[in-house]
Amino acid sequence: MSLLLRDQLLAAMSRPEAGTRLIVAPLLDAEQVGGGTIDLRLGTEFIESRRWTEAGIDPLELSGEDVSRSARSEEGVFVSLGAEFVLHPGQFVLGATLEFVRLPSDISGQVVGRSSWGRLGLIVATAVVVQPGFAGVLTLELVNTGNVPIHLYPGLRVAQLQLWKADAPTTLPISDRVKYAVPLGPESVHLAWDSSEVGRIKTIGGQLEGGNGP
Amino acid sequence: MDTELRFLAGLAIDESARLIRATHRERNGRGYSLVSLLIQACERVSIEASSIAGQVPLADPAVGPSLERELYRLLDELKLVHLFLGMYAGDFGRNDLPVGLVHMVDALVRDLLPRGADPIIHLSPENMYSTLGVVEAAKQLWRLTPPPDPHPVGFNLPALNPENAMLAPILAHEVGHTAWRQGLDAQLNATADLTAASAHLRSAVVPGGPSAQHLAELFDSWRQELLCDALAAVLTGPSFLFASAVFLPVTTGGTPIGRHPFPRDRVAYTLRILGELGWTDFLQSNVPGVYQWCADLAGDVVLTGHPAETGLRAAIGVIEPAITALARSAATSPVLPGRLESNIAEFNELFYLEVPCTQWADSAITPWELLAAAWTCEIRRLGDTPEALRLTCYDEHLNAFMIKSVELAVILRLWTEA
Repeated sequence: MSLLLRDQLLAAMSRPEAGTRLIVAPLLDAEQVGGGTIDLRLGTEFIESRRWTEAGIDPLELSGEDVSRSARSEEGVFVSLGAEFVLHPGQFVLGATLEFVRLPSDISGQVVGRSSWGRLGLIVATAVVVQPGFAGVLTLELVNTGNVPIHLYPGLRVAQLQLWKADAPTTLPISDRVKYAVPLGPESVHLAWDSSEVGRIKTIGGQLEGGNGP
Repeated sequence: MDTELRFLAGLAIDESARLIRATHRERNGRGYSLVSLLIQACERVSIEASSIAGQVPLADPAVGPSLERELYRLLDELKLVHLFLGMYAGDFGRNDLPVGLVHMVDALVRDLLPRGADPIIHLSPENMYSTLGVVEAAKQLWRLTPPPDPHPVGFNLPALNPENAMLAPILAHEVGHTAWRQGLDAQLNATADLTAASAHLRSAVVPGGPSAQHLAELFDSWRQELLCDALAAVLTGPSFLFASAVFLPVTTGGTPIGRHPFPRDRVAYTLRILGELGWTDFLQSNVPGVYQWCADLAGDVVLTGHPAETGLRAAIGVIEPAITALARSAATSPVLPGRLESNIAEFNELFYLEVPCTQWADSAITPWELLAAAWTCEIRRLGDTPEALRLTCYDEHLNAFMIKSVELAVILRLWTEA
């Protein structure tokens, strides 16, 4: 794996065949491609979580019904270019990149925040890994850890994408999702998808509590 | 009488103040032109009611009944304010709709309404797709205030599926009704051969059939509907053919004469307009199956032979060229066959990879280019059959994808122009 620097990023974005091309669209400014990263802008859609009446979120106790109840406690907010979204101290929301990103099968990536925002107390992304073959907008976890409200505007550069080229394309097939069901906005919790592993952990926990441990 | 007048005036003043308090005048955003006008109406009612209250006790008791009538009229106006505030309260500056959808409505206003509009998007479970010129609907409220500019226009979107991109061409037709009210009716009257049309209508009046007045009303309705079709067809090109073939639906044959022309006649007219605009080659080379299906159905019109139907068709036929010409001059930024033809291969390459295409040859794609390209590619991918047409128009993932694509393309254009 090698980190892609500016010339390699530009080369990957210029591959003649669209299927093997690194796509970041729309790229509003060519200068978004930096020395070793591509700046990403804040998108127009946010998911806010309302306070809910459950005791807490416990992945081991979470059923599909709970997940849907959790989703119902969320509220989608759309903010046009030029309008603002105010993130209050301690508030957590899901956002997304403005750019639609498609990685070829031999490139993986990671989204990190930009330091200038970090110094204001804004956490933008918690090491979001982008798998080879991913297509869609990237979900950002936005948290204001500072003491004053931060005014966020769609279109601002809030994150950056580091990309690595693998020696060979991934052998894992890209998921058989429904056509056009790519992520178009921030994606909410997917904890229920790990239900088989949750079941295994619960089983082990039960065995240990019952005195059947190793 | 003095007591009753004071009581009624006090009611009007209090109700005005209550309605003003219930609005959010400090906020900006779509729909606030209506809020501003409703507040103006309330303030005017309050001033007029105060003026009447100031005349009590009456020097001349004989004017009492007329002042009482005036107060009841003012209270009726407040009921109207209440009605509009209640209907649109949740729609002013709303932020729960995808940005791409809002951009699409903005583009319809920009491209079809010469005097502009302030669009209020209202999700309604009942009034699918229709638009409402709010000012016209409540014109008694602004009798003493200058006409609002831009006019607030209510866009009804289906509450259960507001993102359905099929609504774009259908909404283009509906926005046409507002364009009609904004002056296209007068322009059509000035250019169409209404004398010849009237002669056909007169010949259609027969014993036992519709009266001359009813036929004239039907004719007026038909020509408005066809102008709206023409505007939508010029602006959105093949998308209007696809959407109307599904939405009308085109399979409907003969129906009783109503306020809309027959579905197959409308599709036939759409095909004629698209042909005049140079779309036929594009349709025949990209979606020949769907094109032929529409053409076959449009050509298979069941004529009843009734004089009313014959006369109405003939009258509309006379003014059809004027309708088409007016639509071509009124719709700005229409999708053009040449630009679509030369870019659809590149579009399809990205579309197949599920990547939104936002620009062609260094210029942002318009919403109408995007819809036409996406629907054409998807219909072709699914086999270019009527079934493919239906599946394409109702694919919710594709619709959401197109709405997102519209958003990104518009943002690119705005960014470039800023």
